[in-house]
Amino acid sequence: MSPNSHHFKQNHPARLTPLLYGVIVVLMLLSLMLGAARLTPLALWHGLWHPASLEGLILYEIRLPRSLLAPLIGAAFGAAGAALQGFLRNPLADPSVLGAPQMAALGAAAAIFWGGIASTSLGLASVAISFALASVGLVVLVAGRAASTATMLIAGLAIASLASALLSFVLALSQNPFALAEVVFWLIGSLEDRSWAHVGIAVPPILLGLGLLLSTRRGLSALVLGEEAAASLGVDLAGLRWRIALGVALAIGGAVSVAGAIGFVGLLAPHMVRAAMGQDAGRVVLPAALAGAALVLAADILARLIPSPGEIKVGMVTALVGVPVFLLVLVKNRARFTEGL
Amino acid sequence: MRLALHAVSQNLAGRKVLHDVSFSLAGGERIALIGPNGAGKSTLLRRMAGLMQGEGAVLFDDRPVDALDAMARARAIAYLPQEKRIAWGISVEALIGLARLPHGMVPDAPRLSDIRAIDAVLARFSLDDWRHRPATSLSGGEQARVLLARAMAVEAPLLLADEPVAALDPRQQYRVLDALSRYAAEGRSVVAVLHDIALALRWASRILILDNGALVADDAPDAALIQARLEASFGLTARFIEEDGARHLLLLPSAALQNEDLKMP
Repeated sequence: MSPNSHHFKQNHPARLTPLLYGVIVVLMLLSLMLGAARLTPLALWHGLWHPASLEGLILYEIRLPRSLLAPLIGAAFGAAGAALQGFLRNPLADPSVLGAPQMAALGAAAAIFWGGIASTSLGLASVAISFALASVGLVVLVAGRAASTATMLIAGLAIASLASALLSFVLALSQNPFALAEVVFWLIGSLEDRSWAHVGIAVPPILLGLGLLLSTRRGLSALVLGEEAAASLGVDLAGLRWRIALGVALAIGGAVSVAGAIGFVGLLAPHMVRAAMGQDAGRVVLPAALAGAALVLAADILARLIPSPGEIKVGMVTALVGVPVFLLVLVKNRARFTEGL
Repeated sequence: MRLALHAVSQNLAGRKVLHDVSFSLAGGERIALIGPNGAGKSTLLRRMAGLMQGEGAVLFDDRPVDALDAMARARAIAYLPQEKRIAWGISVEALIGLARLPHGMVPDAPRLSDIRAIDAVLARFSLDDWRHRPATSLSGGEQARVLLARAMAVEAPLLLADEPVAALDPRQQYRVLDALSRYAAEGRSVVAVLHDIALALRWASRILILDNGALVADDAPDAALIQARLEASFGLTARFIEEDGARHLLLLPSAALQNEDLKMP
């Protein structure tokens, strides 16, 4: 080893990544234990081996699907946010700022209420993914080439508002007595009453999306020098653009089709890990996915624990934390962003 | 190493930016590409780097550059773009490390050979003290040095540098050109876009002048040639003065550029 080689490890994710895995395991155990009926670790152990017992039913039918979906969905949002921030070279980029989850929610709701597609079919996820792709595609493929912050935020705001309005419209026309509650579910996001069928439709697109997003890490690292320098370093820019657009759409579409548009995780997760990981956009993707998983797990546990007459939705908790952080990032970078306006 | 351009032309947004540019270069050359703003210098460099498609052929060792595999091309031709913005605050060490990407480095898992190469570049460019500093915290001139070191660290047989000394003070300009000379002395070639004609004459073994998209001069840095071309392309008159046995270039504005407000005090 050269005398200086140890320095290179300093910003290495070696310590953060295992830590995040550990946090996720602990939160998953808590998520299995906590809820309307609390399960002690002993009861959990009992239920694990006796699926037909009361503890077993709670564990396998209620808690486990939810405890698996939360980290998966969080990882989808976290990785998508990190990849978009790196690709657009903009720390405010986030799937929900670009309107992707809102579009996916619109697609999913329209498919259920107009298309007659079952809420637990892969067809639903496909529609949500296509809608997410339309919104991400607009920003990444069209405005993506060094889009100014203003262009990106205005385009995203327009898409998100349009999708939200259309979603309310679709549900209002559906003659569904629970239309209002449905709007809240799709636009805020919730993990309540999720079953194995939901896990089944979310897993394939999310894993595929995560795989695509993780494959862009080298390219994202090189983009720090701009598109031309990255291309001169052997990065295939067109391929990178497609992998990001498709990866974000698959991950977000898959997540939204089972849990609605949980907001701001894609913004929060990368900013959380940057403090420990440094700024390299490529290196942030995996830890951001893990941080997103931990974040949604924690928010979902919190949503269950806050005593309330109605259901507190996981998306409310992430928005409560996410919006102040969004504003903080905006203020911290104000000087830089005004240049682009 | 041999790079050959055959009738390279380029249209950008309906405007013809390059007209039938042909020349070739071999190892060990120090080529200064000069010309007025908007002459097509950056576009020519992009074509040479294989980053842009257009009319005509660019051959690297007799193979079209756009037919090369992207990684092989990245190892063959290093490129320093004109835009020298660093988008986020990675360490100087990580920035230099990007030069190892074409050699197959995985950013999360540098191999021993990558670490050694990065250490060597940091030492060679005296960047050791900045190793862990966020590159964005350096001054403009310091960033320019780090970015050039990154381009040279690719260790490609051909380096294309777009305005490597822009934004540098005169002393730093000499240092950077010295580093580029040493790079070329190792049998590699350097093509640098320069705006300082006196500096170009000092440094280059060959001068290319691009004017309005056409290659109007391609020669050794010859005084007579430069004198004629400077008047036509830049509206400048060249005078050589002798001092302490060395020749220096003095550029005088032509009558059209002379102005009461721009008089020497």
